[in-house]
Amino acid sequence: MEQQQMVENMVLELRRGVIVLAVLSQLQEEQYGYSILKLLADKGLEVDQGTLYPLLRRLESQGLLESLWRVEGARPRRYYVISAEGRKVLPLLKEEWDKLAVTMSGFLAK
Amino acid sequence: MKLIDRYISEVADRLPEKMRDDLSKEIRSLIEDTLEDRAKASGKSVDDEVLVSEVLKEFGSPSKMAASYLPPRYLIGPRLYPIFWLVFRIVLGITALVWVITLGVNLAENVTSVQAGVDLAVRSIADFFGSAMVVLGNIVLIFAIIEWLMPKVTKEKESNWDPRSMEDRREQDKVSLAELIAGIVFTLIVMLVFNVYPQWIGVGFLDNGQITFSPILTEAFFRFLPVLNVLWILELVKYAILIRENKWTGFTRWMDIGLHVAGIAIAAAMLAGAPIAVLPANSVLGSEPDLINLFRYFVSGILVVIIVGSTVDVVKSLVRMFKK
Repeated sequence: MEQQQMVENMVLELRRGVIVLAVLSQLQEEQYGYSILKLLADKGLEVDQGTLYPLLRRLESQGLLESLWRVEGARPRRYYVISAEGRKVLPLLKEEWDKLAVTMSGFLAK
Repeated sequence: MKLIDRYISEVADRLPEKMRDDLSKEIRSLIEDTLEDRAKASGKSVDDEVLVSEVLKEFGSPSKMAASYLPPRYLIGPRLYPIFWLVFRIVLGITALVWVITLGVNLAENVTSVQAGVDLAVRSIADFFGSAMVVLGNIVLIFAIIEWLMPKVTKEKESNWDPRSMEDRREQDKVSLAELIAGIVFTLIVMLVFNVYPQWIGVGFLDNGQITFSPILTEAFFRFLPVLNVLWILELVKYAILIRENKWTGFTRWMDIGLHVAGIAIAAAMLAGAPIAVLPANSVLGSEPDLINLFRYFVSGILVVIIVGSTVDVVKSLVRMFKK
């Protein structure tokens, strides 16, 4: 049980490490909070709401995302999209990720 | 009020005012989107209380939800915590020691019966907790202020940090912060007691079935007090320099030796001169010649121990200075 909990925590940490890259890569077009969560989940990256939503605000405060409120139907929603600054940062992060993926594959190859 | 409204209100209460409205609106939108999707999938209404509860549970408790939007905040952070804990324990220990001494003196001076003793002890325990809370509260406050002021200073320091600035300190030159703080506190207590409460230094005895407490320091001792004060102040200066330098240097070693030699000279002068402490003449103790002589030897013995101990310290300091 303890081991299972420990592994779950480590998996959570691994996901947290890639979530910024995943979010920036998926926000080429405007998305609202819940649609980003669904989009990531549909593509295989389950992210906790408590992790994703505050992260969107943090990325916006860092200038990597932009947001605007839009009323659709009866309800307002905050839409997020990658900013000009985010577009500059994304390739740099992607390059780092590619290197990391190669390195880790090398480490983990049998 | 609906469950969602109550939840949003609870979260908002925990958020800073400037982000409260905007975040409340956003969290409501996120909850409603999730609810809408879940209702569609399960065929339930978005107002179904069970469904709403499930979704809110997924979002987490209001305090957890609010905390996730805020940077980590603490009164005393991990950098300061070890030194805070050290100071906390030292001060708590000293407060307890002072309390025990005060209680002992009060019991000896004022208590005439067991019941009165118990009453005094109970009152004294309440006083101790009161004083301890005030003292420790002040320590927390001071550290919280340091924590609040620290980020700017440490960030600047750390960005300019050069590994070559780390000094290669010899083992014998290292200082222990705990020992220095203990030394400062001890010196301050000694100064306080001898200058403000010299009557605390005395003996308790039974006189006609009543416990009596009498001071023992003589005029001869108080003639030495000004020079002792100078010595203690210099001792505090030495501790301050050691904390600042974070190691023993040639200067602090010589200063330490000088202070020890001065201490030896004062103790020797006390030993050679008129008695610095005597049993109270107007007491049963002061009328027993054997007891008076024994006490005189006891005081002389203490001075001899101080002289021998200080001499050993001087020799140790010299060995450390010249040890390769």
